[in-house]
Amino acid sequence: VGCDEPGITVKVLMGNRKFEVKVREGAVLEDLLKALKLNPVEIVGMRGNEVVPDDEPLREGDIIRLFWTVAGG
Amino acid sequence: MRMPQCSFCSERSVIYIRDKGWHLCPEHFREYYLNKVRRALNLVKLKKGAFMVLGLSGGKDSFAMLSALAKLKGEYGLELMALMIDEGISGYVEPRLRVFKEASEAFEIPSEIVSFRDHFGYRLDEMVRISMSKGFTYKPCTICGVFKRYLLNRLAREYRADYLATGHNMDDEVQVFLMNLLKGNLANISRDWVVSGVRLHEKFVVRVKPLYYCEEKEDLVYALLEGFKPPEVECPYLLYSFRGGLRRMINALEYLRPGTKRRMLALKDALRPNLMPEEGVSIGTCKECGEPSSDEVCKTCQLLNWLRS
Repeated sequence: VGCDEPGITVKVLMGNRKFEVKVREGAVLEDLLKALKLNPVEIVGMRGNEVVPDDEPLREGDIIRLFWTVAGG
Repeated sequence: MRMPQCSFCSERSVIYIRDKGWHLCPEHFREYYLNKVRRALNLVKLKKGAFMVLGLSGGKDSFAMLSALAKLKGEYGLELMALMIDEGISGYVEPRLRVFKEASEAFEIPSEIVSFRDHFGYRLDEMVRISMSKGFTYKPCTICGVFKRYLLNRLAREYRADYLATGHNMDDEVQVFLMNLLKGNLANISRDWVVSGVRLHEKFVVRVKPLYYCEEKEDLVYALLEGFKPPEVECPYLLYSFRGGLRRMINALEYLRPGTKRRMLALKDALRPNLMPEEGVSIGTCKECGEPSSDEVCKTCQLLNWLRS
């Protein structure tokens, strides 16, 4: 969503990169991945030590670590 | 805000199996995953008390296979040994060696690490540099694949293994199936299955793929649930791989039409018996090293001769 629109901000960790993304309220992990142009088939998300399914709603301040399934078999 | 719940109990879901419409909690997902591994193992018709060498890379598939087989070894009466090949890729292999050592200790599986350098005299990094200086005739994945297959088979045989297991998953199988289709290579399609190498050559150890029915994402979720810490360094040679593009295309189709990979694998398995049977393929012996080869000189010796020339 745009900067002035209402939404929630989540922190994303992927490999060595860290960044923040603003998504609409009620957005799920799959929405975040699509916003980042990532295919949910190729990504697993974790919140802390918990694996998160693609359709789990995100919360303001969430720290989501993304793992690319393609990375070294 | 409601968190997705397991379709089979009241626990929190960790994965949504899109083509089945199921949410699974950690315990039901473990059961679902292990049943896929059992499905593959049951096709192998394993000998009781068999000795299986696991060829591992320190990545998620390896970790998932090691963990799953450590759980199932009693059920199938298997004796296991973990074997890792250190290809010699600076900065990449070290974290994987660490994962491999920790995992084999945690699952109490005896382990061994062998290197390209000890067996062939070169690290992969050196081989790639030589290849680049000679016009990049052989890409890194080709060199790595040829030497790894050779070494895993030879070592498994020397350890007197009944089976050599690798962590190839459903995604690998579908990608290879499509590559063989694009090349019109029906013989390779006929050979590629859960179990292979049975009648081709006396020096081939029977190769099995316990993760044949497991999707790549399922491997990662299973591995994470079992304590896997993904190494954050990517193989520097990944960009030279032809399979990357194919993988993206297949996964784009999987997203649009969940179950695409499963259906493609089922198609391959249905076609396979009607293609060239394994008995019809003749594999000879390399006149230089004595290992199985479809040419007079095997690919490994050809590559070594080329690197030394």
